[in-house]
Amino acid sequence: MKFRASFIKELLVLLRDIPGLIVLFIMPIAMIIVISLVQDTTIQSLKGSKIDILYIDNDEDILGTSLLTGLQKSELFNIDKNKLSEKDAKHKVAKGEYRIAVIIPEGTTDLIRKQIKPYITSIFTGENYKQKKDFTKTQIKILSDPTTKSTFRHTIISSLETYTAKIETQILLKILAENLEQMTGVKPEMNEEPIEAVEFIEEFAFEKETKITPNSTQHNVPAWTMFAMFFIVIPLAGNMIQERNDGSFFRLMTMPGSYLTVLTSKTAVYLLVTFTQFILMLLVGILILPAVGLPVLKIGSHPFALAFMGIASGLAAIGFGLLVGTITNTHEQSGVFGSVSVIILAALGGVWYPIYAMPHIMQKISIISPLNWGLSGFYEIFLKDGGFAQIIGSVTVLIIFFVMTVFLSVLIEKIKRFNK
Amino acid sequence: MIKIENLTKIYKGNSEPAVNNISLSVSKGEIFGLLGTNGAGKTTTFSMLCGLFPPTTGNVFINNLSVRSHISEIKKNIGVVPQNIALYPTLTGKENLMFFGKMYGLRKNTLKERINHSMIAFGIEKHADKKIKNYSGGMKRRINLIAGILHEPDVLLLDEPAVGIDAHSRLDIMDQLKKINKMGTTIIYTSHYLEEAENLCTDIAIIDEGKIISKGKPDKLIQENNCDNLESLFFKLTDKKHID
Repeated sequence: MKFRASFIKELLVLLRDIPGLIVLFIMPIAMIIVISLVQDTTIQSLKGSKIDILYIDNDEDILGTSLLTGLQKSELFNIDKNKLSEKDAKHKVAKGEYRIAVIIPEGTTDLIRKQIKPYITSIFTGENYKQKKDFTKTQIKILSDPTTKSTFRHTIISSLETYTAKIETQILLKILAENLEQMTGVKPEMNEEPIEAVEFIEEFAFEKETKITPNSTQHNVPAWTMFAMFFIVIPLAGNMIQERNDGSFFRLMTMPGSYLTVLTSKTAVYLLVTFTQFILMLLVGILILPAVGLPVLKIGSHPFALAFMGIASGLAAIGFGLLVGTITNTHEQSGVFGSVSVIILAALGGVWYPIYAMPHIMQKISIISPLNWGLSGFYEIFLKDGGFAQIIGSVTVLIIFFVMTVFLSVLIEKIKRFNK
Repeated sequence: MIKIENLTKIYKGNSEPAVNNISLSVSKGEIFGLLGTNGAGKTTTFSMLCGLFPPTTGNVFINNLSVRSHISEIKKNIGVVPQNIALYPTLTGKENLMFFGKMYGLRKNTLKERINHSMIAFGIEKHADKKIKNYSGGMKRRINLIAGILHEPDVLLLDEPAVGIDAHSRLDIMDQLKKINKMGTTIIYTSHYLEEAENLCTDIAIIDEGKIISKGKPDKLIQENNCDNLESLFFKLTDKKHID
């Protein structure tokens, strides 16, 4: 009966706190949409071109033309072909009109031919080919805006290197054919298109058949759901501090019943909140994200395992909130400590940056973050279509964390009160 | 009924005791006033009486049960009215009372009946469904008091129950306390309103700097010290020109 009364009281207090409800439900939804959109745009801008390039072809031969065709084919860039001096090109890039300018110097193709020809001749004559000491490398100049991210620059340089290698091979084959023709009098049939004997097939390594495709939504929804759930620390701790400040906690402590009853009812109400947050985030992933052009969230084929993961993560977040609310004494303390600690735990847990890409020492440290445990479980479901067997480890540690934090909260409250 | 034996409290980090070796007893049916200035040790004594934290030395017995070892049983038989408005501001008066009543283990029907009766007695029945944050100071004090008496305790502990409210509301509360006392409830209350204490209390103790400097029946103490009233007695004994 006491639990029921306390539960109803907590629920009423929560439902009547409109700004608190906005923080709990609207903010995480806004956050997941904005971050998914931003991340997807970044990925799209990396993958799907639209990098403005100024292309100056002073060569006007095979290399210049072929590089242009290659860059256009890749669909990564918006190419503006122009005849400008290097100085003007530099000026335009510096002004931000173009992210990058590629300048192919005059006679570049000729220079390649001149370098390749003696090499081919040496093959037929049996002479020992040695590169001349005055060998000058062909230089293709790439001017980039200093604000352009290195990933963009590397994408372009890597594309140019690929196409240049193809063209060098083509020139080499052409000279080889000319030499053969001179020797045999027969003109060899040359295919202008390069032979692409190797094909790359990318496939995700699933243990079993699944229709899930890892994408930004499958990564973002669980990550930001965990983050939002843990942000419950702030209202929950605030609620506890408010209770202490206005004296109702004092009254409760003079009544029959234990602090555990108070914590249990808070846990039940806030579990309802975290689970509602969780459902809302899933709905956002399924209904809203596709409406704004992002991939739809696929929840896999184990809804009960997913619900179980949601409950375990919610409990861990609540346990942390109860502990913060017990340790801190003022709203300022709980606000700062709560938010900063959640941000640190989120960073360690791989919400912003994948753990596998972290330095080795950080990967070791990340084990302490409950967000990491939760995220691992969600990834099992969202990215590998895992079931109960795959998430049981994550669920166990999350629940142990919850039990430990509640135990610590009760202990610390007693110490604070009785050790005055 | 209530026995305080050599009660001392020294807060951590303090060398001076907040409550210094006080002893007194309160018989059943008394209204006992613990009077003193702010910082005299009233609230510390009050907190130890209701088991919020243990004394450094000494003990308190309520119905022969020690607060050190039987606090759970004691809590069932005491009602506590803290100095702060210990209520949830976003809940209505009725919702607050329903919650605290249920925390005392009262059944729904009994509780509803007692809430209605108390609200009528305190003249706030029309405001039962208003949120506490919209109550006046006097109304908040009344609900704060009702929350401590719903379970009809043997002992009612009140810490400055009428602080910061108008004279009319204060008189109302005092009248109600007398009625509660007549029904058999022993009352211990702390206050620095000396006139109020003189009218209400059957026995008093004056506490200053953690020590009891005088105790007994108010009339007798006033007479023995050749004073006109409790206020002049208080000033004489504490050597203070005013009370905070």
